[in-house]
Amino acid sequence: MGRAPGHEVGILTPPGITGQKFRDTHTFTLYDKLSKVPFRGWANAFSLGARRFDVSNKLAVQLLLLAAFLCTPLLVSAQDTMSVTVEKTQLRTSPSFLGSVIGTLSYADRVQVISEQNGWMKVAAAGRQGWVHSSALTTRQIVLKAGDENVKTSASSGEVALAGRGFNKEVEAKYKSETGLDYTWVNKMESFGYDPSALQEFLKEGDLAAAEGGAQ
Amino acid sequence: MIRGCIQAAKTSGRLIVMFTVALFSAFAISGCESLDSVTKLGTSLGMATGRISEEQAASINKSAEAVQKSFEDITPEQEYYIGRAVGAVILDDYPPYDDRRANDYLNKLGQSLALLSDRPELFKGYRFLILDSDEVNAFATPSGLIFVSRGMLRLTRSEPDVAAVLSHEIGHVVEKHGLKAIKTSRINTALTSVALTSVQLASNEDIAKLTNVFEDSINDITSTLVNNGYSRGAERQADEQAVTILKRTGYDPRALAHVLERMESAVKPGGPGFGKTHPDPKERIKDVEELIGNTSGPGPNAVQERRYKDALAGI
Repeated sequence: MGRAPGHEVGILTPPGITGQKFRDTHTFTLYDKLSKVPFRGWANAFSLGARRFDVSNKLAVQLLLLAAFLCTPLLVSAQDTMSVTVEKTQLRTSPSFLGSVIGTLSYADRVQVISEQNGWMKVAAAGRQGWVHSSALTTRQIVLKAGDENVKTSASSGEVALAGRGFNKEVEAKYKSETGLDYTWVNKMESFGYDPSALQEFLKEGDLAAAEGGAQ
Repeated sequence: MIRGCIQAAKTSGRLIVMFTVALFSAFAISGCESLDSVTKLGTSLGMATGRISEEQAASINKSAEAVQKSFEDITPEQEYYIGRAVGAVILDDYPPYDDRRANDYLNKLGQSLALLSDRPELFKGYRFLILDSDEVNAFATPSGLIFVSRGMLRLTRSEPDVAAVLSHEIGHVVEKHGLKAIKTSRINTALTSVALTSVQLASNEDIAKLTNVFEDSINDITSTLVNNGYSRGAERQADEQAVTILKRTGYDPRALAHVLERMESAVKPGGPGFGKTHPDPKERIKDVEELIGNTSGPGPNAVQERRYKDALAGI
């Protein structure tokens, strides 16, 4: 179901309708408004266009439609910028943790979303394309330092998250000194992390996670 | 010439109409893709139909967000600091079991399972630690620090059994049960006040105020984890996540039912640890069996048997 990813990403909400399907629906609406007849496929639509306009008009219509369709994804992708919301994550060749790693993304890095599949987002970042799990991304822009113009204008709208805001290092330090709690083992635990490659090896040795080709 | 101009005017008229239509469809799509999808879709449709102005739409979206502050607005970074504090409180009550081999095994297994969960990515990832306690117990902090007692591990017989216990705890993290235990009023105070003052560096007074809210939030979570337990519904959700993870990883999901059966005979209802904070295992077994259905998986293979024994034989 991918509850958390669905929420974080907020991709196209009507239940059961994928991004592609939603765009198709919009193609339908666009045509409907222009030709006033139900859309029944490309060939049909163009022949209707030919009946209504002379040849030069038909060409103009085709060019305009092409332009409109080229513009639509541009406009959409401008809105489809997401930010990395975890300290570090990997860009992979396929939508799976078994996919090879082709790069690393850091907290607050911005990515352009190209498509989505089973909780994975195909993104473009720093001239590369690859897959990132949606739980590592947020639709908010994350700003590392205070004083950024974007933060000033939209901090209260929730579109921008200032890194280190709210419960942060300073709050932790004060909490620690007030409670006298010992963080030694919490810090030690953090050092117990394994590289994705070591985990892949662990799964492979145990003859695991192969049935479905890896993470969903 | 004149005819040509009229033709051009007609064409550009159509051009404007078409681009307007294309623009509105693009706005409708992109509005729909944002976090507060319902409100924003509503307002963008309102704008498209000319019923409300852009300014009105912006203010409606803002006020909707102002009242929507909830656990979902806690960023993974803030969740990380919450989790560290909860972990420190748990380790104040329970000493760690300082056995590198056993803890390494738990981390390799647990972190692999987390990769196959619905929430594989956390601010700093999942980490696991054995607690030196005979009590049958396990805890998960919101940030993915997961603790399992020696008493709990002694109820396992194989790697799939350990995987079942860890997957259940990962399930609590996936479902954000820890964050949901924080009272909404605190989140409102914390996030609204910081959201408004975040432009400047926070003053000492802000830090003091935030630390109070932080402390109260940690208490909300730890009292749920250690004393009251989650609702039966939450436990069922965590079991559901566990079954999903086990299936995806390739372990027999029935391992979860097996561990629960052993818990039923080992733990007294209302007794310390799991008995106090978890619903009667009998009820959970029934739920879990429903979730599993007819699915079964292979038993542990030789490699799994070996590494389980190597790491946990002396537990």
